[in-house]
Amino acid sequence: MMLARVALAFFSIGRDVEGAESLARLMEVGHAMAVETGLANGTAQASVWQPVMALSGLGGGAPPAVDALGALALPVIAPEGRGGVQARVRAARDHANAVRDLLPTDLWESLNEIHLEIADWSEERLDQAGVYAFCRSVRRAANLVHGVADQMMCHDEGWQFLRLGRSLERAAGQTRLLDATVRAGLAARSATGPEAEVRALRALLSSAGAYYDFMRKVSVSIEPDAVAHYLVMEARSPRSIRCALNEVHDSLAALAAAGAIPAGSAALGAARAACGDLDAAGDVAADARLRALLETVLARCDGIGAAIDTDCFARSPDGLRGALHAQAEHQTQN
Amino acid sequence: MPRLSIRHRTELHYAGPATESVNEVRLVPRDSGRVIVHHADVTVLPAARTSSHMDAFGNVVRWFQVVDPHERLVVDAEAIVTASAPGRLVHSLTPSEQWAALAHPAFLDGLAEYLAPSVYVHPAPEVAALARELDVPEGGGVETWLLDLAQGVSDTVAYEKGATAVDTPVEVVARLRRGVCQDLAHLTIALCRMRGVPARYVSGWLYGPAIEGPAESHAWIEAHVPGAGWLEIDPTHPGRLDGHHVRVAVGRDYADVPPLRGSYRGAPPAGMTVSVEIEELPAAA
Repeated sequence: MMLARVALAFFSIGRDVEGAESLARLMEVGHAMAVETGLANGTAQASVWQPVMALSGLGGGAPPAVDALGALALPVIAPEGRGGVQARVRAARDHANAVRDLLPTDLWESLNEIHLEIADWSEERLDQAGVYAFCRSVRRAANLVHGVADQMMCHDEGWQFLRLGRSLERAAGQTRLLDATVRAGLAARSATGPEAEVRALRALLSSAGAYYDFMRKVSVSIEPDAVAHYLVMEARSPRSIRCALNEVHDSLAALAAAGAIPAGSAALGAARAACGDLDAAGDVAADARLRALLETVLARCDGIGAAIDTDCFARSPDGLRGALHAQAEHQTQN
Repeated sequence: MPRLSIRHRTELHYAGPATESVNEVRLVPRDSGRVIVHHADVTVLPAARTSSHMDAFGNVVRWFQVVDPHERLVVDAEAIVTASAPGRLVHSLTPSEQWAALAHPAFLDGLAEYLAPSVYVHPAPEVAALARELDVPEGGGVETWLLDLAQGVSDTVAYEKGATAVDTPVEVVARLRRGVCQDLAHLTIALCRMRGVPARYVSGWLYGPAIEGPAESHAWIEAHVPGAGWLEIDPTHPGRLDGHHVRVAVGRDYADVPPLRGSYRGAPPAGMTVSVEIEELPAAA
């Protein structure tokens, strides 16, 4: 039986690397949008950066008064808290350090290298080298870690927890991204004209990491309904919500089969229900029904996360949440 | 050379059930030229298997975990050792050559970890001010400077239990001018490193018929004298060490060598008691 803290470390590695990568993608696309629309240098705050901040979780509460550079610098430089790119990469590395003896050397070295690489970016370097270089660096690093994990780790419980963290983060992140875009008026076929609509759809696909795949596999003509359907339902695309939820379900099922989580786990039940919600939705279009579906999926993701926390990471004999404490850290020497 | 029987007991209580307790114990003395270890062991209650490894500083580390719920954890470390006074250093460099050697790149590289800031020891204006105030003369070479420095720290910082905590920063100790052996050790290490002398923290036990009260978990330091080696000095009891210091572990500071370190899930800590009993055994036949 795997210790809860070990399971949590594997889960967190997958979750935080995925989170850093998706935030970098948001930054990159947001920057491109601000430049393309001529809204850079301050005026892009409301239309570009505030949504980025909200999606990243860094803009909670009152919208921060930031211009383009400020919005970019904050996620990069914010080393404290969970939101920033650097903070998430560092968290992933810290979790890897906690289970270092259980990781393949290749994976530990990859995580350590990306931590050193990302930590080396400062506001000044970002200003000089540009946003794209930073975001490309993060994306390549995240792909390296995911690839090494899949190819070098034994596909046992530890790997299943890592995969679970990655896919749950991706399912929730892609759902929030699509939900924000739909809320922003995509479905209303905005009055800003077809060019702006196409630009917004392209930004959505790029933020989701699905732009080239969509163009090649679906259509060179970007239509809102096709984009929404692709991002939600295309099970063959690893960037879709469907695929991510399938991964969540499969990893939980594998963990249940291995006895790592209870067979009647609420997390597995919630994952099964989320997949069922998508099955029942049928064809998806960028309309009001989509918003309802996305809200349901987000609630399911939250439920899965809470159930995993109880089933896997917070076991305690009385069923209450067990906090982690330092042991005997204040043993004075006289 | 007294033969000592040592028992170091750490007892922890929790406000409710604790689980998944994972711990490292650094209470197994190292066999060295000065300390001969006849027997050393760590036992845990609730019973747990311990495994042993060496850390980056060469310390013996016992690792154990208690997964099942428990409300009390007892860690007993026992050792029988023979301790003797450190031998005198043999100097191959003149005093001026010793000071010059501190700046040699190979010397700096080889002992970099004992010159760099660490968790509890870092440069601070208060420490620099104390160094200026002590103004220890350097003419006699590094060893003499170290012995004078330890005496200066001992004279300046009053030994007072309760004035500081285990994590009190070194600049606060320099300002308060009060503390216990940990504080004096950290402050002396900071002063050494500030002058470019590599220094490290020693965790161990102190026993002596002349020392009042119960035996103690104690801390002192080692500083490196170019061309001669490591010199043990105790700023709490300045002067040359006798055979009553039993060296257990070394590190950059206390953060590297806590007697017990770990984490657990469950209820918060409700208390900890530490007792050290040292008994002098009859000389072996």
